[in-house]
Amino acid sequence: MKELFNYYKNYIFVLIIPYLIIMFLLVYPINFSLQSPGGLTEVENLIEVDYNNDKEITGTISTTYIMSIKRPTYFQFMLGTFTNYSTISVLSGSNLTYTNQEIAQISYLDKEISVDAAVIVAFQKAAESNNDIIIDYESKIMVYGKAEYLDSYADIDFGDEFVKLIGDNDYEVTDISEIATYTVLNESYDWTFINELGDEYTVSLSKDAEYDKFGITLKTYYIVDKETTYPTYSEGSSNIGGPSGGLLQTLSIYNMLVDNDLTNGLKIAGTGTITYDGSVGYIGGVEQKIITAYLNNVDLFFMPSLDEGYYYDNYQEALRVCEEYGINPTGWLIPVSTFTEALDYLEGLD
Amino acid sequence: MKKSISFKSLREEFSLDDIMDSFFGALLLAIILYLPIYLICFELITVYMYRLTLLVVLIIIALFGFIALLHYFWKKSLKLKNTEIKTDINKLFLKNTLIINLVILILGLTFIFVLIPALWV
Repeated sequence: MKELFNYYKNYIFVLIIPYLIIMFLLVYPINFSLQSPGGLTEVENLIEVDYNNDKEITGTISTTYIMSIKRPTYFQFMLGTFTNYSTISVLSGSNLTYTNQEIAQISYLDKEISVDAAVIVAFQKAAESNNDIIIDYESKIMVYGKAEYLDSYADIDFGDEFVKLIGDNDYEVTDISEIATYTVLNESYDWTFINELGDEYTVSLSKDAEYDKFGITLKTYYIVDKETTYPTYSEGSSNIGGPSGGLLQTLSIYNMLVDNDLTNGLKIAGTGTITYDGSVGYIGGVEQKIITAYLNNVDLFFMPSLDEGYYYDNYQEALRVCEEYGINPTGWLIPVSTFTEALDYLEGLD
Repeated sequence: MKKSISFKSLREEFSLDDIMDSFFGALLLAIILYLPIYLICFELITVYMYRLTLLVVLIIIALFGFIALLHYFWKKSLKLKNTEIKTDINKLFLKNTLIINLVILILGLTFIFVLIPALWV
């Protein structure tokens, strides 16, 4: 080993400075966000419903993912400027305070919740015409956001379940709408959570003097009870986060539950979150998703359209992207505001 | 006289410690030299994910280069230890490089056609 390094020592001395400069460009993160096109993933690779197993699905239903890089390196930043397909913006809002690992945690939490919402909406719709189908779910209050000033920041994780807090006059608060009302008299309160492993823990949280808040964001979610839900389904592990696949997941699950094939042999993709009442929500990265779909030659692409007059409406934005890149959206880009609208469109293709 | 092309004859000329010392020296130098290339490949994939297959091909080619470089440094190190090697080290290491690169090619193609579609969900 020594002989080798001695033999090349002159080269090593000469190259050490350029080498370190290159390494710096390759590893030093900067406070920007870079979005570039990604790909399609077929929903049936992620969720498999044990029903209608003999049914032949002739086409595909896929979600669309994009690459969202928080805090890219200088080199990634430069690469992003070389292609028209990428968008670079300054990192802002909560993304600035969260670490990349925390952003990823939130993203995966969003994905899990989105899959449960998709199962609930699809099963409920399918149950309208098939009494065999049963969907059961329960509500849970989960940690969705943490401010920098939150006490016990490291102990509380994203996705931990809120159980209770002991409020003023020892009132036990279990409903998030009551938190503000029963946390007026004291400085700090005992909060109880359940972590990912199922262990219950209690932490004392105080309100921040400047913001007069505890610094924790809680949200109510519905989680499917897999024990009582019929038919059973299995969910694979995913390495893609975010809730924007909700609509397409709902369509695909529904397609696995009904007798007829909604796909008609088409390559169907799209984007849009799904809420428990079946309405579709806005997503980010419209430009990259349209390009991804175009590069992957999809036959139909569903895009949230909630308000035609709104400049940043996803569908309006998608139309502008199509115009910019010379893509004809006619018969290909489908605006939808609810799951039922998307379903009606596919059923109308017959 | 025809030179031998086997690790057995190499083992007769060098102690195991010398061969391993040369190998780890070569590995360390090759890794240091290739580290920016690996990082560049990784970052290219993150930004140009829509060209994933093309980039995996690029990584396979980069791995070919890494294996060739590793063998080059290994050979160099051994030659620096003993200038009069009787084993045909050039042919021996070329054969070894080709075999390893063939394995990389097979694994790479499996990755492109089997693992990427299966894992990326």
